[in-house]
Amino acid sequence: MNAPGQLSQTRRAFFSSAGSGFGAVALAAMASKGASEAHEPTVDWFTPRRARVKRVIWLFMHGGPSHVDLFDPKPDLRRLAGKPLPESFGAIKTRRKVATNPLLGPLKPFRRHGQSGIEISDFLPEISSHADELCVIRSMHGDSVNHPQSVYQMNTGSILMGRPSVGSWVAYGLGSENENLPAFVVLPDPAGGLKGGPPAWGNGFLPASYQGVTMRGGENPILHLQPPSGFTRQQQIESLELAQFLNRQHLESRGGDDELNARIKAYELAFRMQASAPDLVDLTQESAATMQLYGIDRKETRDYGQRCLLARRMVERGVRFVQVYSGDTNGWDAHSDVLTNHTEHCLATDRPVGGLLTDLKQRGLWDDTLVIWGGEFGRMPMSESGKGRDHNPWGYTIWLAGGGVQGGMAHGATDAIGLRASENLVHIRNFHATLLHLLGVDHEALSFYHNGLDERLIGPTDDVEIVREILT
Amino acid sequence: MMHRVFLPPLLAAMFVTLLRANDRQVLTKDVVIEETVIEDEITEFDRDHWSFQPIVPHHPPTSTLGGVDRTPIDAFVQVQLAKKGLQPSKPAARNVLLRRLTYDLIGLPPTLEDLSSFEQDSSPRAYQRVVDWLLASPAYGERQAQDWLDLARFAETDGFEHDRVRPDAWKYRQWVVDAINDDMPYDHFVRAQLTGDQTGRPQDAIATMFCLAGPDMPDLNEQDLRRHDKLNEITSTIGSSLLGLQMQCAQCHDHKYDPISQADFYRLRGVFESSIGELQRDKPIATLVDFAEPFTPHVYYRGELGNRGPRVDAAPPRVVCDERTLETFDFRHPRQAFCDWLLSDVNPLVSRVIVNRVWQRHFGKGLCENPSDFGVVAGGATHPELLDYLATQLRHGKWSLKRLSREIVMSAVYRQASEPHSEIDPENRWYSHFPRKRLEGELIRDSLLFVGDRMNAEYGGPSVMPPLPTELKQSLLKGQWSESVRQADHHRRSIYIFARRNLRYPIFDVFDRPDAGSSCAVRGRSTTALQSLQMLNGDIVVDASVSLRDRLLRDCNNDQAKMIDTLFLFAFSRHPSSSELIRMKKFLNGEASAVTQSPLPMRLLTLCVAALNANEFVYLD
Repeated sequence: MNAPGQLSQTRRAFFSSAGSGFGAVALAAMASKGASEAHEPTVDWFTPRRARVKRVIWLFMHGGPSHVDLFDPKPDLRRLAGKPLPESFGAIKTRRKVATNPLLGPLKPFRRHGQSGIEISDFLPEISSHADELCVIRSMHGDSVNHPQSVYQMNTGSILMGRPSVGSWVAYGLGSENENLPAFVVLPDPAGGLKGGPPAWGNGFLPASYQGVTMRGGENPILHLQPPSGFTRQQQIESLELAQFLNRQHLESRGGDDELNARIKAYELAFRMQASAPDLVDLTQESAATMQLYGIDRKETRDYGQRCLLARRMVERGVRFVQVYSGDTNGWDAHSDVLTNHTEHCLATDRPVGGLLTDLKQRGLWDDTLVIWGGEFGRMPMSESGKGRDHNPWGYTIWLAGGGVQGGMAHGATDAIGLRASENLVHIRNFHATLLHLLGVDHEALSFYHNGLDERLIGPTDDVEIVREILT
Repeated sequence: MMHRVFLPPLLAAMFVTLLRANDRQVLTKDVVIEETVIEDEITEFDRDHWSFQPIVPHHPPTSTLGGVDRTPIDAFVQVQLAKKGLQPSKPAARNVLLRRLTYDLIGLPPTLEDLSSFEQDSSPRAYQRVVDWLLASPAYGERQAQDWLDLARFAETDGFEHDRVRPDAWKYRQWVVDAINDDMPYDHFVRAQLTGDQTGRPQDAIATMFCLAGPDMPDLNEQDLRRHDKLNEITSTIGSSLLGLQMQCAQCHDHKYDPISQADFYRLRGVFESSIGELQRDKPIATLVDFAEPFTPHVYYRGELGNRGPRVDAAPPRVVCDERTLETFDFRHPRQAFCDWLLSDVNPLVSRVIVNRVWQRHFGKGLCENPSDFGVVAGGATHPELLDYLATQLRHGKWSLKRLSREIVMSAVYRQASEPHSEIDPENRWYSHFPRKRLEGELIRDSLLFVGDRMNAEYGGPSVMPPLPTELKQSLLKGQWSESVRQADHHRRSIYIFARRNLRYPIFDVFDRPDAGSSCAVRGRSTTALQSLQMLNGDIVVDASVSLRDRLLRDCNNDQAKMIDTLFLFAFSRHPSSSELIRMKKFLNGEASAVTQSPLPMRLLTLCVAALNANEFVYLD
């Protein structure tokens, strides 16, 4: 310990004093305990050489963007607009009894883009300019017409509450690359109100250290990151030193308990996070050109742009899994007027998303990062309240970009009007399996023993398949 | 006269298609053709698993260790220790023991008065007096109830999108707290929660919220699907919480390992089938009710509502039943009949499961490490004879859980020191020392209020909502968290904090409170930097430190040594060691602080924050 009067006043000094004498022991303990510090995964589900990407950025369009108006061109829907759903399509389960409503034609023209000629609508000019980099899956399908169940299914594989989220599974399966930051970070829409709430990024039965950590821009990116008013930074440093002094005395008289040791390390990590987290979210370090690239210079794109930029800064620092939500409690849920709703949400996200793709490329992050764009479901070809559309889990689009997936590709298809996935169907389970595969994780082997069962992200059945056609 | 003809599924289905009946039942004038259940017979091999075997009323072995403090429990533990070449530890120091016991029974640290009077009371009955006094405290139920609420996946809202409030949910919580305080016999406790609506006294019905406390989606379009999901969820919960059987996978297929067929699952579900009527959209269901028109239980292939299979009769899982139980099971009053069987002497599971849970409460781990899974792959008890002894005692003791707890905490194995003293058993499977425990988030908060002398110990009543960090409040829908108006309500015990399913109160969340999505038998015990941030920077800790500091300033008469001593007593129930005293004194008189100009109260505050962040504050020896 430091002699009195020589007490550390800098962070660096704090570390050397707080960690003295226990470094090696504590690190060994951390690895076996799987606490939230960095650890090299030595598990049988991870094969490093098979990993195509190291990190994931998931752009979650909450509310359900309309595939037939954005990424899935349906000339027949335009042709049949105003008519009822042809009988040949059979009975369809809907949330709001729209089955017999007249069909609503696509609201904006679609155009071919890039060398691949992928068709994307005029709603998304910036994303369109990246068409050759996108792997568009037009045959996604899930199991529920309801928001919370579908938000849960997209995030956890199950329509029920309380299962671990994909990000938690990845954090559990791969650990963190940066010992100063969590492995799984969520950047919620600041307006709040996700349908289904925080259980969407919950750890379920996995240890709590794998839950999605909510972060925001600004002074306080993580809850309780800074001392409350009335307690200065210096007081905090001193109280930590005293606490760690007590902890070491306590530990010494208790024969090196791993858990007590881990808690000492957790305080050191917390202390480092107090410095690293604000640094992480400090966007003043970015150039004006970057701000412009993400649309941070403009009011309508500022918020999502900032969060996309944060996501890039996170993956740069080794955060494994980042989710960036777009949409308040209603979000993309365009029941009454798709044109108005999607004009607003596309405007808010198109440039930031395009900017992110450009930025990942120019910084050499592209090949190691998987970008996912999508909502919890798509929308119905039938109209609702005239100009709106109801939820559609039976067929919709998501796209992937970055390492390991083919650019300029459209995989699968829905039927003539976008009602149901009809070719090369990709169930959410298969999408999850593919996601794990890209990270070098065996989707069948990744498991956690809980209540007598080896629980898995993909569920108990053996029929889950990787979507091999989209892989490079 | 009606005839029933049972056919295997394929053949039955052919008839059904042929006659265009949609019910997998074919009615001619007087013949019913029905599909039969096809399932494996239960074999002797299946029944041979330890947990399905009758409880053996073992006598405590003759202990090689004498002494007045040795109880029958110790005799069982001693046999295993001796076999492994281990010795029990010496008794824990009195202050350590009192801290352990007080937290264990009422969830709070001992007061300074309790500490000094216990340390001074050298009479042989001193400990027993404290035990009895704590068991009789109303705080006992407030502390113990959360374990049961974890099992009941209790929350006061629905979850899912709207996460709507269940206005009566607090009454169920209160029922649990009261029942525990009244030492309601465990058989009554269970029966009330499965059949409380049938006593004829309307106030008893609330107990059946146990069955319905899980997540629910009242705005689902398909209300029959909502009902289907609800019934399956109840069945799984009853299986795991009361029987220690993980049945949920059998809703889709026969259990892979345990002798539980899919039909067994739907027979158990049949017990509750008619207790939930047709559901109505956006209408909550709070309690069980029996409906005049009973629903016929069926198997549902792959667990799918649209895939209805043969009918079954309500019954308990076959593997734990004899022929007679199944033949005489009164499926016209299935819940009563189920309880009769559940709590009868022929059922070996219920008492084993609950005594294991009570053991886990006191030692932080069960005799069986998977307390909600007594199936074939989960592993048996470390001390099977002790488990059976305790199960027998429970039945002989009129199912009194307080009596069981008392027997456990009176044992020497409970009262021993927590220091490991041997390399032989690093996992401490054999209890050669007391297993160190960490406080749950709820207790950490209660302790912070307590040491700051700010706890409002009011008993019972509706939930309260203390302030929530703005960032979290913003993530909710409008009106989902309206801070309690009365300031004093912000300082109620943790058990009374409103349990919103979609947003756990932050300090509980970060310290592993389960999400109330499904029944939770063992909480995780993670160690994370987010916990440290919560403890370093949360208002709740700094507020507690300020109150504690003011208390020390007020009570210690400017005597710095006394301040430190009192702080240690409050935070750790002990005096400081000489090296601790030296270090703390140096800090307090300004020698060791960089902010030497800072006044004493500021430094004392720093010291209080340090103490409340120390491992010793949240870990119990």
